[in-house]
Amino acid sequence: MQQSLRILIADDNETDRMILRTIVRKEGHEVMLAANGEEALRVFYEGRPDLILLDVLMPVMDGLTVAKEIRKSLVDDYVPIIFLTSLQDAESLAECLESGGDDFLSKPYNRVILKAKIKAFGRMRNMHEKLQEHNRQLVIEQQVAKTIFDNVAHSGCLDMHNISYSLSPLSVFNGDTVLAERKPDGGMHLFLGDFTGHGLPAAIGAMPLAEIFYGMTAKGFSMEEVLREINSKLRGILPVGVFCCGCFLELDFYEKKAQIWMGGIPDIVLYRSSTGSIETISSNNLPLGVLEAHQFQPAIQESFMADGDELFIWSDGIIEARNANEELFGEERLLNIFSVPRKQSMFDSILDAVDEFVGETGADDDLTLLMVRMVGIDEIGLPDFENKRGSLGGPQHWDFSYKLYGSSLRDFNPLPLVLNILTEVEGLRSMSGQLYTMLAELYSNGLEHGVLKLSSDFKTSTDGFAAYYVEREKRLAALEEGYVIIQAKHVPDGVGGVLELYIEDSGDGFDHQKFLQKAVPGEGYSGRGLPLIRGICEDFHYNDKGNVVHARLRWPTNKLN
Amino acid sequence: MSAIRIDRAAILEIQEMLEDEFVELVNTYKKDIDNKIAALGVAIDATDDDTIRKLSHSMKGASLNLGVIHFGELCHRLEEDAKVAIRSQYANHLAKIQEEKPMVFAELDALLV
Repeated sequence: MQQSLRILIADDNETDRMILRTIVRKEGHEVMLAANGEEALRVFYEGRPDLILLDVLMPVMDGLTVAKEIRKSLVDDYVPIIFLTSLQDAESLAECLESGGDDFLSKPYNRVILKAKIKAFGRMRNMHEKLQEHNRQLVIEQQVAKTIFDNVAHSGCLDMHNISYSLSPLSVFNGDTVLAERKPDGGMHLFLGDFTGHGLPAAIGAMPLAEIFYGMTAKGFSMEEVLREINSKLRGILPVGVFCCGCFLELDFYEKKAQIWMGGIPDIVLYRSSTGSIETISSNNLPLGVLEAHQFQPAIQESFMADGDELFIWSDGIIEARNANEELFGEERLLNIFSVPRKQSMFDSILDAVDEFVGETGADDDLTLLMVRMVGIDEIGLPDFENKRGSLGGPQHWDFSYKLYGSSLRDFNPLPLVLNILTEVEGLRSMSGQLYTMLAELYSNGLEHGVLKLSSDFKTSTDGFAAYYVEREKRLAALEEGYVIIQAKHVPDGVGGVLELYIEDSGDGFDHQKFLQKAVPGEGYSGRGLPLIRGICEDFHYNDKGNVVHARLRWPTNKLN
Repeated sequence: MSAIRIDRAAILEIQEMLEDEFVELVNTYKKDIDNKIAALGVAIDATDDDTIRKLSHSMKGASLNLGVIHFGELCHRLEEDAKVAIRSQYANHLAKIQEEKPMVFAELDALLV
């Protein structure tokens, strides 16, 4: 059944109007009439017809002008215009279409053709309306999705001054994501991801990714643990053929070390600020969401970075940016920027070079670029994890004892779990950075010097540090015996609370006196957490043997911050 | 030259379609033609080519839509000459239009009986 339309008939001939009106009404449509162009415009604005039959030659304002005005005023809406004309020459007819008309009907009117055309254009208007409705719906859905995404993937620590990034506001819908968050131990995780595809399918995976990234990073999980979780989550939820290329960085501002995982992403650049030279690092993993959890073995590369060294990471949007001649920007052009003398930051130089290359064509929506610079820990401080709830709640009165034996010590890092339990006490949450550093220091002392019997002597230089870690890995892999006990107890004291920590290892005790004397940061790599521990604890001591350590801290405390 | 004055099939179809309104249509047409012929006279006296073209174009369209073929053709000739300003022919065309008019009106009136 044909739908009834509101049709505007604009013709200066009264007899023509009468004939047209009759034909159109007999087809069941509603008619509005206008005798000249100006009237036609007025009736159009007041009556909002679905279709217009418009005489070309009319007094006051001709049909061509009317058509142009109407097209100008309609942005999203589509109202078909059929010109009524006895003009025959091709030029006049073409002019009708150019002015915004969709078709014409020759005089004298053929009733059958007129009816058929009204029907056809009515159908077209209908389709257009449906399309518009779908578009509106899509835009609303995208806005909602973007709001949700922005809440999940808040900007993390992307606003820190050693990070620069460029990301289009709607980047989530072209599949690009940039995330950064501080680790409780003062380090930092960064992730640049590029999902396959565009639109909602590309955006949908970014949400669980961000959620896992922020949640696990803040709880102290390692890069590998976060990667494994993201991979298995994406593998589980994304359809075949949709995955996430990306680069995951873990920066250690104490040890000046970057751990780099790359999967299916263009080479990244490590820029040495002292020499101006660059090193490129290539992807050696499959993207996230491709492999089953048991097949996923992240290969992580490691680089030492001096303060001021910068890492540059990009999605393929920059390399594939095109200029007006359809040439690609390309990797070569990108790498060349690093050797050109410049007046501004390297980051800005890259963006400017791409802008200049792309020129007026302006398809730079996909330019995702991330730079992070190695800096001293003092420059960025320890992370401050905000307490998101209004009041200080959580369990206040508890204790636990957790004993890990040889094989568990080999395969498992208990610190995130323990930190999680401690920071359930909301009063301790804002100290989670310090707590983590303290736990990590005391636990690794117990594990490394106690259980593994490693001497801290050869930890005094960068080289020695690396050798130390090789030996640590070796002994850990062979570990069968031994244990570490972690005990914690929290008691409310009316104002805040008191936390007591007890860590015991199965070792013979280590030279804690030497450890305790290292009160100056920067003097070797071990013992860096000691000033911090002393700063937050009201009591802190080892037993004589050196295999048990006690720490007690009270919150709120004016020693903090 | 003896063209068909009125396309009977076309006008009968219109009559059938408009039913009672057909009387009004014919009367409107006649009044419109009378007014425009008067206006044409004024425009020709003033050698206003553009107005002559528009008036004759409009008369042509209205006539052809009613099946008034020969009269429409006469208007068309005036329109064509007015487009290129062959002014010497204006009076001649107008005379022929005025000559044809009563015969067209008479045939239309006959349909109303």
